[in-house]
Amino acid sequence: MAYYSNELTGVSMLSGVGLGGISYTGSTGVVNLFGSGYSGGYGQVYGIYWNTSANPAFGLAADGTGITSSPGITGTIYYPRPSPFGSGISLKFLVTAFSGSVGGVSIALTGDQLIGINSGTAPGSGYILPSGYFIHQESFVLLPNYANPTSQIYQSLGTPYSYTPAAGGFYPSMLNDNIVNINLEITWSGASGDALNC
Amino acid sequence: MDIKANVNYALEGKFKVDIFNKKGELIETTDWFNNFITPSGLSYIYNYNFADCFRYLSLGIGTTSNYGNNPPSANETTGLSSPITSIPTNLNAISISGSPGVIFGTSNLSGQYIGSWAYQEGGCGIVEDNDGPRFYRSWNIPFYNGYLLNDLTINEFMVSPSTGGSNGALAFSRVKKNIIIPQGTFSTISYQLKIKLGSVNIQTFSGGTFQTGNADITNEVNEVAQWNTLSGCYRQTYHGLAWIDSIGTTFVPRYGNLMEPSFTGLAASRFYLSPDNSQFNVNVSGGANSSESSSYLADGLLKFIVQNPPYQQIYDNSTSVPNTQNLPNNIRIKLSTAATSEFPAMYNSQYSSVSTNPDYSSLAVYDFQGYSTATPGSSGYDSSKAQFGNKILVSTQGFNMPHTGAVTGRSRVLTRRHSFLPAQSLGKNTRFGSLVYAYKNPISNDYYPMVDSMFFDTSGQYMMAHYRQITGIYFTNRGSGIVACSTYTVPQIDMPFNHKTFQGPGTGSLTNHPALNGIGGI
Repeated sequence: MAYYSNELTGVSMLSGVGLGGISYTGSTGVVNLFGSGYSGGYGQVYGIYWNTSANPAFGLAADGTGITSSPGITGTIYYPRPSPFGSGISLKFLVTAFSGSVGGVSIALTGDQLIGINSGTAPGSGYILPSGYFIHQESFVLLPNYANPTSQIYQSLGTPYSYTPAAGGFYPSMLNDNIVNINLEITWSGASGDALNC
Repeated sequence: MDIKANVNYALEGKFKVDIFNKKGELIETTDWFNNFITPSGLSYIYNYNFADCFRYLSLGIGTTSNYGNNPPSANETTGLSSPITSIPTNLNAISISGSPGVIFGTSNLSGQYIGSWAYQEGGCGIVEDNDGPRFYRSWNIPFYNGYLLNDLTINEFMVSPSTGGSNGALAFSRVKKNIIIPQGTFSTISYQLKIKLGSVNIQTFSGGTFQTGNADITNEVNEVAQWNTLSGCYRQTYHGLAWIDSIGTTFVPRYGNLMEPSFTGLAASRFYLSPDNSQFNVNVSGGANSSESSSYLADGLLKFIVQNPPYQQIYDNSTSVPNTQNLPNNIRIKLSTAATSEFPAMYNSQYSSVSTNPDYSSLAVYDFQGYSTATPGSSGYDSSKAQFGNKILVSTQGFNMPHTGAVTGRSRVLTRRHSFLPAQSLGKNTRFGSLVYAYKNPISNDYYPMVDSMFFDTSGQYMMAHYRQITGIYFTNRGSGIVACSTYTVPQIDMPFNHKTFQGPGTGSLTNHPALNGIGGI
């Protein structure tokens, strides 16, 4: 997946902090977002890229005079089905470490901070939180029941049982003092319809 | 302590008449017309396979209405009000291929209890639909390759399982319909019985389904409570009824006819509890997910099996059911198909096999220790108790409970009871995530599942035991005035999801940004 340069040059906020522009130098892999067009200012600007087309990920680009290397956040992300938490997982956005000059006003934010805290020092049109949702696909990775199984596999491997502290739900066991009866009811019926008295 | 599970069938019967001339050319036909399954017919199901309830066809000229108050006040029976006792026929006179055969002369055939001698080969059989099977039989009237010497007026049709005696000679179904079959012709009268299964789609049960009021809780109050609050889901996975072959013979396939209320070979009727909770989580047929879309089709249970073998492979009384016709068997039981011990396979990945190495590089918490199977979880493993391992637990054989007085309206019910006895208990450390009702083939000892059910753990949620993979973010609003952001999930999860991105432009909003849109939406 490649970016298209005209989508990035429209990011006016970046030029507003003194960066001289954005150049687009690659179609695959890490994209140099701030190459030779860098002209001044200092700041930390983040880019977004695909590392490979088959394994997309969002990444953090480096600051400084050029962004040419992978930020090191790669790979895929797994998360449990969100059903216990409602219809979906919501997103929160933080302003991250940033210092720069916008319209002659210096801005210095350090660390991850909630946007609202620092909104007074930021220029422009104010802050509007982005919104969105995750795109996902069904994984083949199974979700464990938060504990090691009572497994004969471990026996066969000669591995001693090591039941780690459990954190999740649990399943029922059979009973020593009670019979468990299962009554299977098979019901059938025939609607009489219009054939009853025809 | 009692559990009550339920499956139900809706019966729909229909007749059809096709009339042919001496050349075998179709000259008149009817639509399928509905029948009335009689009160006695509904009760026959206690003693006969569904497929055996219409072995005999009877014709009559009576015009009285069907009996049957709605609902009937008693176990009413019904039948032909005026049977046809004689059908003048010229026997063996028809040859579809050309010249007539040897004419044996005239004969008066009975119109009552017309059986297998009149079955039309190819007009009998079974068709399996997505919601249950349809059974067929067809009778040639007159039979023995004859044709009618006179017009035959029929006002009532009836099918029955037997020809006489105290049980089975009455109507399974009857319908009034005026049909005149002209002289010089013969006809094919067909009967179709549809068994519409009510539980082929996923069904859920909630806490309280297990009646624990009479349980002894002196020493195991917590364990009993676990059953009382248990919830889950189930599905009937195969119709489990006897078949009809192409020449009209009822037979039992290797999968048994366990789901017939009349089934009495209950040594082969078993429930079993299994620790497995993941065999069908990403594939309705079990095992690996064959594609992204296949994962979405999975609901954790074995799918409802529909199989329509090629016509020539229908059982013909001389050969066994071909091996190509088979059901999934031994689900949630064995470590492998060749294993004899009853330990279900445990997977950490359903990608292709147990040994597949999934990409856990970004998973800090979950690793190969995290097999998906039913465990004591937060209730803890009790090292002071015996350890039986990850084994299934098979019930005692079932028995049909007495059904006297079970006649209510247009419905009938049979209750079949199985038990798990304390002596069979696998202790507190073996936990169960699923329950299967199966036919155990007495020769091969394979279990053929008829009902598959899965338990939810104490969280009560219907959690598919597999992860979803985040492949991107779709921004419906890019925000404004923000240079850089991080994104993370709420609530926080253990997976390392805390990623940086930028947002822009500085003014206004950019909705559905194409650069992100390009990776696809939900």
